[in-house]
Amino acid sequence: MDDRRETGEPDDELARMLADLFERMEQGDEEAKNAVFQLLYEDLYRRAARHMRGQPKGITLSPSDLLGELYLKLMHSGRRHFLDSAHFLGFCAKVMRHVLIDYARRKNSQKRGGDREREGYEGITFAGEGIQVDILDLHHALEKLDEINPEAAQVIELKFFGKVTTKQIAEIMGRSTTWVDDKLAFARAWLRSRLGD
Amino acid sequence: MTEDEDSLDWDLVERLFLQTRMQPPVKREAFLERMADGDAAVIEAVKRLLANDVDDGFLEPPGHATLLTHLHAADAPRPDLTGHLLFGQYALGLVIGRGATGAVYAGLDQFRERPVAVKILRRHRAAKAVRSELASLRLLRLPGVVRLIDDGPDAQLGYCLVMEMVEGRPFGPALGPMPWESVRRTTAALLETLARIHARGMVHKDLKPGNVLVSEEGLPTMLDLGISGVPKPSASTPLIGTPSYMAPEVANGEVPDERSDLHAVGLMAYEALTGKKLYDAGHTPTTLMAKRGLTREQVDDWLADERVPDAARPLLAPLLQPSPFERPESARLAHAQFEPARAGLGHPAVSAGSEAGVAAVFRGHERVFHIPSDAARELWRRTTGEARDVQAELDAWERARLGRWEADGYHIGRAELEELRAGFHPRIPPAQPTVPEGARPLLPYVRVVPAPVTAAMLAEAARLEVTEVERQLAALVEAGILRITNAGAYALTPLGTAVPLPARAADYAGRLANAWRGGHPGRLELLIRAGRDVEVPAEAMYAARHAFRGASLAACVRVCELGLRTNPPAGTEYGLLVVLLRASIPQSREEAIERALMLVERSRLPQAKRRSLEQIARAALLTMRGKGARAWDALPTDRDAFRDEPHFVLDEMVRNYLMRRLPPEEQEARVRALHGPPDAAERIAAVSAWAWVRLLQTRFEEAAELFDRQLELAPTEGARMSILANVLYTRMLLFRLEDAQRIATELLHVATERRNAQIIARVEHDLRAIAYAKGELPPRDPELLDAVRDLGHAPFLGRVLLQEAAIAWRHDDQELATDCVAEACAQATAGGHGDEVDPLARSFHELLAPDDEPDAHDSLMDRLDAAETPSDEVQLIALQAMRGEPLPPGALDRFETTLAKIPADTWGYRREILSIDECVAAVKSRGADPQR
Repeated sequence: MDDRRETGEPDDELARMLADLFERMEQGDEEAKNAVFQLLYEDLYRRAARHMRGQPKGITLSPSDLLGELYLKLMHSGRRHFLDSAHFLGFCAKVMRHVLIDYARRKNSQKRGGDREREGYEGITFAGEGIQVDILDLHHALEKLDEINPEAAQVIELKFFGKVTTKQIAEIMGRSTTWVDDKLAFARAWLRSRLGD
Repeated sequence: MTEDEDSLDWDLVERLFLQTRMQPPVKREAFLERMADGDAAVIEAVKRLLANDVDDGFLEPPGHATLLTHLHAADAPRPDLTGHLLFGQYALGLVIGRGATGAVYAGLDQFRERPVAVKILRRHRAAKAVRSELASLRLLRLPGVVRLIDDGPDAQLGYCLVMEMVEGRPFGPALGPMPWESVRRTTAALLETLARIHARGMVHKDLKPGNVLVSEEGLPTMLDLGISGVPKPSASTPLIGTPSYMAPEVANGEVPDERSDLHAVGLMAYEALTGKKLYDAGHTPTTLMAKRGLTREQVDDWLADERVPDAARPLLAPLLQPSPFERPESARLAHAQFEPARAGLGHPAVSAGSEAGVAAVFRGHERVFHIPSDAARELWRRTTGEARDVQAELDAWERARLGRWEADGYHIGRAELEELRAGFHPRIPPAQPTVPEGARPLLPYVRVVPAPVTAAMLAEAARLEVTEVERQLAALVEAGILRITNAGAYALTPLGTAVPLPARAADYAGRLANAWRGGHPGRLELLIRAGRDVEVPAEAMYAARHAFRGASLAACVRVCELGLRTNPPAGTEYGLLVVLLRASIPQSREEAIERALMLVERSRLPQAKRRSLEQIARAALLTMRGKGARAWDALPTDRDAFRDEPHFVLDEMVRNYLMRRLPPEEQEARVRALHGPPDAAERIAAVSAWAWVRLLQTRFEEAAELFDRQLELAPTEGARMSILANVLYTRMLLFRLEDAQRIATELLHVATERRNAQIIARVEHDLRAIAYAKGELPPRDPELLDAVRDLGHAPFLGRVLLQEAAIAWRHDDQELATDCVAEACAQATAGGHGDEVDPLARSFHELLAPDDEPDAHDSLMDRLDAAETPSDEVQLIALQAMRGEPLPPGALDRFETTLAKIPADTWGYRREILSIDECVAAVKSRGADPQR
């Protein structure tokens, strides 16, 4: 990934804290869940910012890189059982989404001083082989989709932000893979029609 | 999105979206209208979603989609890319070509200082082609095939392929007339390359001068492997390649195989030799028709050209033969003919003993770098100096794509030599690998399969325990024969491809692979099983049945023959012969039936069974030769002698086939004799036979009743569907359009549920025909045509085309009408009408394009005899009159009697081009006065 050889404590510390929290979470502790979210959020945000800082235009940052890095660190937390579960991936997807959105927002306000005209806006875009999408637009579209079809929105969140496979999504949501494929198709077409405007 | 979206029933929209996207494109709109019950807002929303249901990688998960910080990705490649540095290594120059998948630029590899060709692929559309071409190029790291040097995405340009720059001229008429000796050498080299491609289980499929460049030394290099590969199912690729260089069987809708490539090589060699272009590329339908009609005599005429020397004829003739069965079996055999001195794929002998002797084998364009001596030194260092060892090392370099044998010696580039010298490539294991003893049983299975395999697949094929398979696989990996792919499957290493196979297994695997080009999902499995050569006959049976269902007659015949040659047990032999007959008879292919008859005669079946099959084959041949009555008598009399299903089905099929070709009065008697009076026998087959006879006799009312009865008797849902199709047919003949529309809708529903694409397309067309008949002239429907083309069902396509032509004609679109009719003519030839082009299509073609190859071979009366229905006959006479040609004696009488036979209201269905009034008016204009 990169050549930093940090033996830095923060990650070890993080791993230890997460290990505790995971255990509490598994016992159904809602607060622990929030704490895990918060911890992961901060960590991922820090990593994202570090990646982006001072990078020239055109450099890429993929969520899977970020997650992969985090994952490796957490491997040492001794909670591999949880890490290997599809639910952890789902969890990360949500965190990832927020990290990226907030990063884009903050970047946006730094550069443009807040809610300026969108024209010329230099934010974060996703580019697949298809159309390019501004991440904030995607976020708003997903919020809208969440209102009309929460499951479709969740599937996209998992698939896109969490790099969760169809099979894993099926596991997380307790559905069949065909169901997931259908939801994905619907969500993609819906988002595409909305974002293509 | 509109303001109303909040009030939309999104659950309904989602459901309809998911259902509608499962429908074929042509019927989506109608389906949606029906299901949404006319709710405009819902329909609008679903349509919007469908329009955005594009598989273009949108929101693909990270890995494909990447978070980018830049906004200004260039969308289209700039036309002038001079100076652009690709991958930091290749400087781009001018455009040197454009293809379907993208533009090709000249480039310079700045590190190695060599020219390269860079293909920049168009986005979206090219994605599939890229994968296919990349796969081909990676697989074909062969001498004589353009080399892929590098590939990857460029942020600005999109996906780029960097290829070796090939200089040369197209191998074709532009090169000629060329001396025979040069043509022979180039052709031999081309065949050698082709043999290597075929050995990898691939077919080029689009060999033509533009894809074969010949260097000044006369060495050919193949370009553009965009469509080559393992052949696809016939249904979706009826016409792949370039018409002018397409083999006749491919023009006939067969799947291209090795022998089709050989035909193209023959054409190119001939054209280079004579400087004459055999087919004009201009008009595709005309070219295709000419291709289909190619005869041996025509080939003889070509070869009689004075520019073809005597020595060339025996070599070119086999390649040019219209029938693939008469061409050499493989490029390897053809190559041996062209270069008898170097039969097989041998190389110039390597003389050993000294560095200088070794140096003598090196050739190449880079002599300025002293390649021969440097290369010889390196070779000397790495080998024992023994001739065999040196040869093995050179072969190993070739497998590693470092150098290549060509006709004049061994070619190696400076850069590759440097790599060798730098120790970049360790000594490559010798070409004859040692197979670990314990892994021997598994090897043939792996060896015949071109694709990666998993342990589980092999375990099933070889009937071994998975653990045992894994043990053997590990041994093969250890020995360097197999490698593990990224996906965790096993694949052969270059060393592995050199493992010799038991002769019989190799032969069979190769042949079956060829025959099996019909493309079936089970192909891989089949090939694996092919390794089990003790069970070859059973596998051939399996393959033949699938080829038969895939409507690939050539593949079916070939597989059957192969199966029969392996001395199969009696049961399999019998099964193969039945499949062979069932495949060839409905297609009216005399040649195939004659072969089948010969094989039946040679078989070791019990006398009675053999005789029965012989009788069936003879009867079919007699019918084809116009001796229908005698054919019937030739059929086996003792129908109950063989109670087995295949025989019964065959017998039934032949009787139906004969029946349709008998005069009406005889039909009546035959049906009676066959099944007894239908009232007494409730057998569904009897009802069916009667119904068909009534239909042929144009007693439509009775036919309709009988089909209705048959529908009541239908034992299964599947049978119900096909009977329903007949019920629909009679309703349309009776011109009960409302009724027909209702039945068609029901049938569409059943067919959709059963996902039967063929019936769906037919019913779509029927619904369209109903609209046409009702006087609601529908617009031309290219989507429907495409859908029908995808079905790959030639006779049906011919019919649809004819009606599209009629619609275009009425819209005054002469050009489209002519194109459609030309294609209709071609389709009818390929399909169920034997060698005859559908007479109605031909007459219509002559009316629309009077100058285009008038076909005077048959008279109007001949055509009337060949016509399928009374309405066809009436129109044939009218079309002749409309062309302003004289009506032969008797034609007028025939017009009147036939017209009288047609119930007034049955007109207007399916392929009627003219209305009754138009027919009458046309004939009247010739001075006659027909009475209705």
